[in-house]
Amino acid sequence: MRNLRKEFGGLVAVNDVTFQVQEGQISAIIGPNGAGKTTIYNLISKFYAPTAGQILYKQKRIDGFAPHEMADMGIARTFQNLQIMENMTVLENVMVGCHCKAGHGIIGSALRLPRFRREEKEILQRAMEKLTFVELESKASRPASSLSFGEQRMVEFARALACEPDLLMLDEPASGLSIREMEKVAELIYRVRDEGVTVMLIEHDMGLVMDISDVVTVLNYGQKIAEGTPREVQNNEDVIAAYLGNA
Amino acid sequence: MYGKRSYVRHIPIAALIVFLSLFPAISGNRYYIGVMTNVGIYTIIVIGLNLLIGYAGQISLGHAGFFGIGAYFSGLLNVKLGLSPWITAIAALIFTAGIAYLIGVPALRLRGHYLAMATLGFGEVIYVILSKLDWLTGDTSGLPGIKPFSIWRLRFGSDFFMGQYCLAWVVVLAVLILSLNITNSRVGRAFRAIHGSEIAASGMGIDIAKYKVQVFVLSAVYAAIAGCLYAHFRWFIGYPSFHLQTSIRLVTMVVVGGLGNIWGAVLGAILLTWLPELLTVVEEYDIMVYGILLMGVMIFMPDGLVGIPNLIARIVSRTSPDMQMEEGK
Repeated sequence: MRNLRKEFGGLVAVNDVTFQVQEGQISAIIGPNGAGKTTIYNLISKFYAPTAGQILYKQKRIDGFAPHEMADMGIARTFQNLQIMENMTVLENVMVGCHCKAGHGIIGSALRLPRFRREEKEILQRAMEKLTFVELESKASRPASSLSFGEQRMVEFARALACEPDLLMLDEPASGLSIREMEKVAELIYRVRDEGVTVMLIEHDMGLVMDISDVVTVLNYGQKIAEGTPREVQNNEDVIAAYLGNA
Repeated sequence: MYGKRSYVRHIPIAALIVFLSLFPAISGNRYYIGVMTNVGIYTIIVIGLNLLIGYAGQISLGHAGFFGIGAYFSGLLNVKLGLSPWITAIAALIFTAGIAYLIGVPALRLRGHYLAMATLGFGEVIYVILSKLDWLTGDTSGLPGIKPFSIWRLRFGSDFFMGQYCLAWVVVLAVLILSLNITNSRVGRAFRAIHGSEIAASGMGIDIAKYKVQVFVLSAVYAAIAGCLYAHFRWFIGYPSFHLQTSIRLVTMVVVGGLGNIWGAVLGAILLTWLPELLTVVEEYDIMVYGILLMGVMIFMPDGLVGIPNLIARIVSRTSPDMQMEEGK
């Protein structure tokens, strides 16, 4: 993104932020609470429109599109405060992720046309595949609301993967997780990256971020204050001041 | 639901067909068969409303309006132009779909209470229009002279009550099967995803506005189908049948039957159409009874009639000492 700026009324949430995410890398965005990290995600997901600036994806501007068109373009995300569909089972949640990969509509479904049958089978298969990837296949037919918080995070992860994205945006995937669950998240992110997906990560857990990221971008009060490898960022004075200053 | 063998899936439908086949023989009464025919007509609307309210999580307090548009449009074309009821019915469906689209696109941008108010307003507008149509219908209280359906030489008039019963329920079964297919598809999951989390749904590629309008139009078309059946089963239709009260009855049927489950529509329609017949007090104070039923179901059994087996299972497991020990672990 270039010179991205987002204002909410008089509050400048994102101020002239420019950064690039390299394909095939794991990039992290960190910063104190309220620094604008999730706002940037929402700008990429098109839930907000930028007040100024551009967002480019694969060399093309994408700021004008609608939120639901992002999945088709290969961008999938998870949500900081979990947006699980509690009225559906675990498997159904993940199958929703496959929505963008199929095309049958009301008529096709009502009449059970061949395209519908074929695509439904594929959707079921792919959803089970992703559930198995996060090791939750045994809970497939449970209502999503009955799972633990950590498991629900995994379901959201699987759901995002079901879109078969090129860019996976994770918003605080480790928050609220135990150490063991966090290790599993790290392992999953590595495996996803190995399959060629570019990963973006918003995260507060410094251990996780420094361990797995290739690049770290630091935001504070809506502005980019540092960028570089984990080690470089860790030793950056502005970064240390930002975190300590905001205690 | 997924991966179940196909014969298990077909059991409820088979059971319904068996019940419907036995009912006329058991009741043997022309009046009761007529009531059951009306149950069928309402079931069609309630299935559509269930898709809208139970699955997609939207609301409509004006669906009697679409019921009325379907009935009057088909009836008027039939009376004034003498066209066959089959043709006027198809025309009515197209017309109703168009109106539903025009109303739906702006209205479905609203949420919750605002959407409820908008649909309420729509229903009222239709009611007033229908009540002032005497210049067109020639009769201050409604539209007389409607011709019945016929297939070859078989006339489905009011004397042929068994024919009306069968025709109505054949249509219900067709609508039921189509709707069950829709719910077990990515479209059905899209509806429920919108209900569950609009944010996540759009993140996963679901065009919220498009699907909301789709389910709204679909439910309106179902109501119009019911309206056509209603009109051509009678010689005369009157505007009081399409009052707000009817819209409320329909929503009550959806809720009492069970949101989010197509079979709830069938159960809700059966219960609430029969209730006034069996208990005269219900007939006199029907709005009050519906209000109490709605509140009671929402508070005590929000899953509706369809959820009763689960409810019983939960109560039983809670009072059983073995289960209590297990839960304590």
